[in-house]
Amino acid sequence: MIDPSKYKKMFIDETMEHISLVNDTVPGFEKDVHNIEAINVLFRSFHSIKGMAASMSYSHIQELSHKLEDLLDSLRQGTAYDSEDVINILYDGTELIEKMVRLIEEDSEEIPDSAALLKSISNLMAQNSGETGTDDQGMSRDNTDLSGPLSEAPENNNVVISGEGDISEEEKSFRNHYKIEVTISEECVSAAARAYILTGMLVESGTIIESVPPMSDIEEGRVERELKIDFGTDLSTDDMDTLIGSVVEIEKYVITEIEPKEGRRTEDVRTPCLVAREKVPDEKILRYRKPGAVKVDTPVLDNLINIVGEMFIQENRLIEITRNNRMPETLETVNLIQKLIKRLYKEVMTLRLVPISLLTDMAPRIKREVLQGSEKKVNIEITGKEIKLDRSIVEKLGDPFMHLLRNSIDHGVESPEERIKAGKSEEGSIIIKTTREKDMISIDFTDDGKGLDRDIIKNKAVSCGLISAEEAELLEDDEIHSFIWHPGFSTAGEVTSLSGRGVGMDVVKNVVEELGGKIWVDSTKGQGCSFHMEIPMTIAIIRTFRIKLNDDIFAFPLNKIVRTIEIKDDELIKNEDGMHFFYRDEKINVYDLKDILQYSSNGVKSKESVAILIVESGRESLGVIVDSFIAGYETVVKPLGKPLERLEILSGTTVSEKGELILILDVDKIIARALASSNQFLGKTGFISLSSKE
Amino acid sequence: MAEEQIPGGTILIVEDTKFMRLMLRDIFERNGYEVIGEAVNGKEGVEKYEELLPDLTTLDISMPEMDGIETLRAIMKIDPAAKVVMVSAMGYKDKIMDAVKSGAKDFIIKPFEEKKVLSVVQNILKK
Repeated sequence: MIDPSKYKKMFIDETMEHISLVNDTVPGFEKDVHNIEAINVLFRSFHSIKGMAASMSYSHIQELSHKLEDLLDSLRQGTAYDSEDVINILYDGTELIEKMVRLIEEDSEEIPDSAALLKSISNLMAQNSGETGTDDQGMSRDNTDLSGPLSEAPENNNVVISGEGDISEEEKSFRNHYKIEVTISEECVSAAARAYILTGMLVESGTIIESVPPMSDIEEGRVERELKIDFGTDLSTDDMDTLIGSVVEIEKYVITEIEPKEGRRTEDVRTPCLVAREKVPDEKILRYRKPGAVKVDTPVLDNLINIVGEMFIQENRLIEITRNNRMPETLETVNLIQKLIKRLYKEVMTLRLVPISLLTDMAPRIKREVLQGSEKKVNIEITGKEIKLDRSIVEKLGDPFMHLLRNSIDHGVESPEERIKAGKSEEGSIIIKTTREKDMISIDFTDDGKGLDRDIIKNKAVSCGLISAEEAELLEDDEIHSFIWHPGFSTAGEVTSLSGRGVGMDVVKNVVEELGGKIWVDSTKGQGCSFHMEIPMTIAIIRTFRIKLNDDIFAFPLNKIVRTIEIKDDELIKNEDGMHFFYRDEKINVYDLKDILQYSSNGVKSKESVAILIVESGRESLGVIVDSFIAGYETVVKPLGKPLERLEILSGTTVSEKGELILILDVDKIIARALASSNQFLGKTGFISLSSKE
Repeated sequence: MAEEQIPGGTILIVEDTKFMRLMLRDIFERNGYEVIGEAVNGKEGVEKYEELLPDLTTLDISMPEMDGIETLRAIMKIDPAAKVVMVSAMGYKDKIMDAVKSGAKDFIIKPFEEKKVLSVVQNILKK
């Protein structure tokens, strides 16, 4: 028996893939509802969903996808519909199926009510055509699963012997002559094909002398469920029984031997024989279903992560103790445990991962909502939507995502006339690209619209008192653009190219930064605008790199570190602009971490070399001088306690193997401070993009 | 090296849905058949058929680009003795009949009933 629980995850994944495909296709279809290619794609998706749902006995999904399939089929047959009606139904239907799938994923018993939608599909189809394109009865037949009576055995061999029979005169070349009566099961989708196959099989081992309906009808598919065949063959009754018994979807068959031919030994068949079989359809057999996935609440997952985190800390300590005490045998076991903990961690993290498509799949609907009543045309291209990240991160990214997308559609992309005037194609393009590099996910929103307007932003910044007019002239475009992240900046309606839907760009930025991420904008006036977002793939546990300042240990998130390097004292060049050195011919500015942290030196200068950590954030990278490197560790980041929260240079704390508190530094803030210290003339406003907190 | 006895035979699955491919593969492998190939569309199906010459091929009726019937015809052209079983959902009566007339040996319907699938396959392979 097929065990459906095993396929559940796959069902969910693949159905969601189809939903994504539908969401991607509907926009193209919106332009032309008779676009046969789009119809076919949509049809096939709903068809596939239907097939999978039927296999899983999710009859509600099956029913809805079947209905949508019907609608598309009738569209394919050329029925004219109001395109808006169809589009709305497709969107609503897809949304509802998605909801149904989500509930299944959550092991919820809840089944959303689809009656209204089913009815509106039926109504729409009834209004526009007399008949539906596909076989509606297929649906009701589909649902007989488990409803039938129990049967103790799959086959019920009632062999009845009777003495009925006629002699035919056309039995010359065959030893045996049978009359075969077959009833094809009601559940058989194509009785015609079944009859064709059956007769084809018979012909291979004998001759059909006569049949009702006649062979010419069978060949043309004109068959009901009943077949009567006069058959001449060398096969014995048992062989006949085996042969016809092997054919599926036959409800009942009767084989009657019409008088054995002369010379044939008849001791085993004393009288003409009648073999009758009642077949029990498989669905009628009650199946035990194993429970499917186990539902785990998110708090439990959080607890698991905490526990694994503690294990990491203890493991680090254990390794140190083992090394210090020189216990090689223990070390072997410890190493093994370390591997197991790593695996456990991976598994726990995997449990929490969901695809970014949860967000990107909203794109067509957001577009539809924003463009309602507008003549604008926008094509949204989405790549990398299968990339997964932590559930909580995806949840938090919902608002920023919608805001950025609305912005691009609403204010980035111009009207068709404007676009044509600017020498662009009528249709605007928005590309949402998700990529993954190690533990970081990048999401880029790129539109080919009008881009940010330097002058408008500059004037606004000046009028808000963020910067003086003279200072503003000195700023690069990038620096001017970064004002959009300033709280309260995005409310100026049309002039700022920013949508004021309650969420400002500062909120977007805050959310991304709270997640340990980074967002920045690239824009060229007239050519478009790109928002780049970088966020960690997972939360809670990060890999850190520890360094020493005096006797204190600090940690840097490893994903922000480009490399560590030790250079000779004389390689570090100092001048009035600060310090730098050359790494593979590239000039790298260097800052002393102690200066940045306003941390007093203990004056010990032990070595002739300088330990430099090259860190990066967004597009900025620079070197920071530390006293010494320690090593990389797995670290659970704990939220900062209240007093520490005010120190914006810290992103969290962790506990060392010895139980000491280690501060984790916020690389973005470090870079911002470093740059600010060396660019005094820019004042406090030059790097708003890096330090949004006022 | 001991040859492993394969009781069933070799099967090629041509099917655009991963879910259905897995379901079929599971059914076949559980019952001693060897799935020697999978193809995700008709074109690939024909190529794989030519390359692998399986004992039996399951062929989805509804696939993008080259549909099941076209694929079937292409396969029958390469090998008139090909044993092809159509895989279809409800509502494809006419297509099934077309397929059977074009040389498909049988058809199975989604959702699959393992027993039925096996009966169909056994029946065809024993010949």
